[in-house]
Amino acid sequence: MATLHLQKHVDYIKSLDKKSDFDSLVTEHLRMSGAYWGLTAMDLMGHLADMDANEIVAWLLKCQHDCGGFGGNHGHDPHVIYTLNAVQILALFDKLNAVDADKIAAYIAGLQNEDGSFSGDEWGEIDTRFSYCAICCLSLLKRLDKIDLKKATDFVARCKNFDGGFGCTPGGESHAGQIFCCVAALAIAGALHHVDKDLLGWWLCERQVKSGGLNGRPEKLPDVCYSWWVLSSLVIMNRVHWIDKKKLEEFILDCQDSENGGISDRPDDAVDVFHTFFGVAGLSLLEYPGVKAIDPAYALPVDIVDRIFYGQENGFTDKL
Amino acid sequence: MEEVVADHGLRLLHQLDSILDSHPSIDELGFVHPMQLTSLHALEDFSPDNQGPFFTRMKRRGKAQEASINSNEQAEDCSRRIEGQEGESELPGYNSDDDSGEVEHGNGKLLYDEAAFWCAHGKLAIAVPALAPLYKTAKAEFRVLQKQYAKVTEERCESASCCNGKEMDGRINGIKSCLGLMKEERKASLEKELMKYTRSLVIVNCDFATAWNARKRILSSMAVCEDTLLAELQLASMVLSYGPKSEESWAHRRWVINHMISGGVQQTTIDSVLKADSKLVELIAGRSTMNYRAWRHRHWLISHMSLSQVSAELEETKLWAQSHIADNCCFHYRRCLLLGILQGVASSFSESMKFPPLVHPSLSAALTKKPQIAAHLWMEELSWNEELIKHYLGHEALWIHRRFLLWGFGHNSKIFWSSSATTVAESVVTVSFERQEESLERVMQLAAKELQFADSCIAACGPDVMEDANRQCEFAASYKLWLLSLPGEKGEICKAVEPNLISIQNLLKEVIPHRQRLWDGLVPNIL
Repeated sequence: MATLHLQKHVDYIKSLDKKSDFDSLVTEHLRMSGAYWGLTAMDLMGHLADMDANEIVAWLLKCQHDCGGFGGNHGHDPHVIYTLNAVQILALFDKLNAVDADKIAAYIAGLQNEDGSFSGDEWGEIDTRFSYCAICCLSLLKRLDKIDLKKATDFVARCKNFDGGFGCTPGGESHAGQIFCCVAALAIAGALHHVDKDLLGWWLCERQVKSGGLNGRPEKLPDVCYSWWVLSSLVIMNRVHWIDKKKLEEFILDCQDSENGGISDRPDDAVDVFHTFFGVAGLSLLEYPGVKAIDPAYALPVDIVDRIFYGQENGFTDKL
Repeated sequence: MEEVVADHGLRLLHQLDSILDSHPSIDELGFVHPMQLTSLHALEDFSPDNQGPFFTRMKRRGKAQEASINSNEQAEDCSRRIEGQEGESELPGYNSDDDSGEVEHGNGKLLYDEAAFWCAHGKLAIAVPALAPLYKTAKAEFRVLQKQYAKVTEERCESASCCNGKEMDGRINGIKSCLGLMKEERKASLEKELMKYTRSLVIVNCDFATAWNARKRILSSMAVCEDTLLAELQLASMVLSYGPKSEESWAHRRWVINHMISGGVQQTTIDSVLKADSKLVELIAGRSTMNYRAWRHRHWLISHMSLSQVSAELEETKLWAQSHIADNCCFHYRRCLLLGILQGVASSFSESMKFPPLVHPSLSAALTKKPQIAAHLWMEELSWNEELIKHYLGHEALWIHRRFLLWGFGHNSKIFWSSSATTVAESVVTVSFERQEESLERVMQLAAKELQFADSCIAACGPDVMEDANRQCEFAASYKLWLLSLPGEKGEICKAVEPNLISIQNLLKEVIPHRQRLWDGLVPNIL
């Protein structure tokens, strides 16, 4: 019976910082995302305090451009994805006051297009992932009023397909990753009525293959990261009891490297921080003991989200 | 030691530049193990077999790998990281009788380090150990140049604004224009260097967005030049041959094509670019199946297509789909084409559709004249799908396609069966009551037939224990549920034909027991 090798994963994530091999070099451009994955996983496993908050925040702040947006690393162009990740990291460390929220909000608002969609950056690519980044980030900064939220959610709604799923743009193929972005964005924006929960719930449950793992689209192999994207969508829609949770848990645990730590996309493959995070996050949604609860829409620990919206980590409502 | 490394990197960079400059039509890129590079150089004259990729990718396994590599194996479409750096041995598709070998070295021809590069017949191989020094040096140069370029473009703006609308002394004017010329030259020289270094950067790291952006920035500041932009597409194709899932590379293509369109490049060139892009996706899709990013790009092309192009795409992708029946992306693409045609008809009816108009105006115009095309193409698709389902047991993508077709018929019966009538004028806007009843009747007949089809598929599988047959049963059973849950335009279509809903619950329980929790939750809600 497999168990979660929590300490191994903690050690694995801590070891990543010191790596300077070629792979680290060519993933340097998305270090902000890598940091978010690693740090959130650490917090879910109760070891965020092992990390040097001041060093990380100092590095992070240098990634911000004059326009307010954040790049993936020093000297990298700003993008809405890294802007969200930066804000998420600051939320983890309770350092949201280190940034000018209005400036970031202005950057994001500037990325909204006439049809309600969001471009990722000044070069104009549109994708529902960017809608999620924008809405989630602004919500964490309590500045959702800076964009046209109705247009934003209407655009997301237009990306709905015949199968209840969502794609990257209107008419785009349903994909679990895109579905998460759309469902979470609509949830945060209070517009979940656009989602056909039964139809989409059905599509999402059909992602579970016989081994218990989840794939992201029909005919694909299961992958641990979909433990997050499929599961969180189901949780948001209150349909998670429709899948076989036990089998999924077994699948995720099977994807661990029990010797060196870390989690891979499927059993016996090479591990990485991306899958380690999503594996742990999936286990969190499955309420695995020893792992903190994660918010399915904000993709941050519940106590962090509570702290932002209610002012206290223990969940009591502060004076508003 | 640092200097030696930097020199080495610079040397490699210059060699790569020379190779790229003298081989403008490289269409395939691979990162290979040094031993593989040696064998490539040992090949006498040959020509590659154009059927398959020259370099194939290897999936990185966990514990068996070298300890130093921290795998950043790309997840299925969901991560923005690049795939593993190891390339592969070449396919055995080379013909040693051909004598047009292009390997150039020595004797005054192109010199490059054979331990680092190999280039022939439009294929470029780079040894994995050469990548890091190449990349580090290119990145360092890029950073320096970026800062200089930013400064020059800022100064240029300042001087431009201060010269505006002021009376100037002729002499001062002369000095300013001389300075301006120098700045222009400096800018152009920096741009040339930046394009050189970013080219190498995106080749080694196709997801290095900032490098792609630098290129966009420079291209934006120049006059639109067809050749330059076509060369840009060539670079992106080369990069995509190694990184077929690179979203940055696909996005760069879209930007270049949009830039061509807005920059007034002639329509014939645009048309051939769009056609070539569609083919590129097909080529890449053949090598990396279910490639979301590639097919997403092909879907984007539809918005630029005319009716004849859409119909041609439907026809041309049929054969491909038949040899890739597990590739849901391809069938989704066909769904987009079919929807495009439907939207074209719908907009000619000025009905409000459930989805936004995504089609080229000429598509709608053409369909106004021939609205029956929609019904014909959709029905053809339905019968073709039936053949495939009967022939290839247990393929999810085929059944999902069928779900889509029935959904389409169910939600748009007025358009389909009104349009199979005579002219648009007769069926425009206010469809008569009789026509509405007729079209609903047609949908119900279709649905009844489909339920029988599903039953026949289930019956055909029998007590067989083969995996394919089991899956066929499962898909047919869930298809029945799909049919029964289709709401249609006037209440449930299928309830009239299958009032016994208990039987579907029992069927699902029997045939797909591992999804019992799903049926328990779903069935009461949707039926």
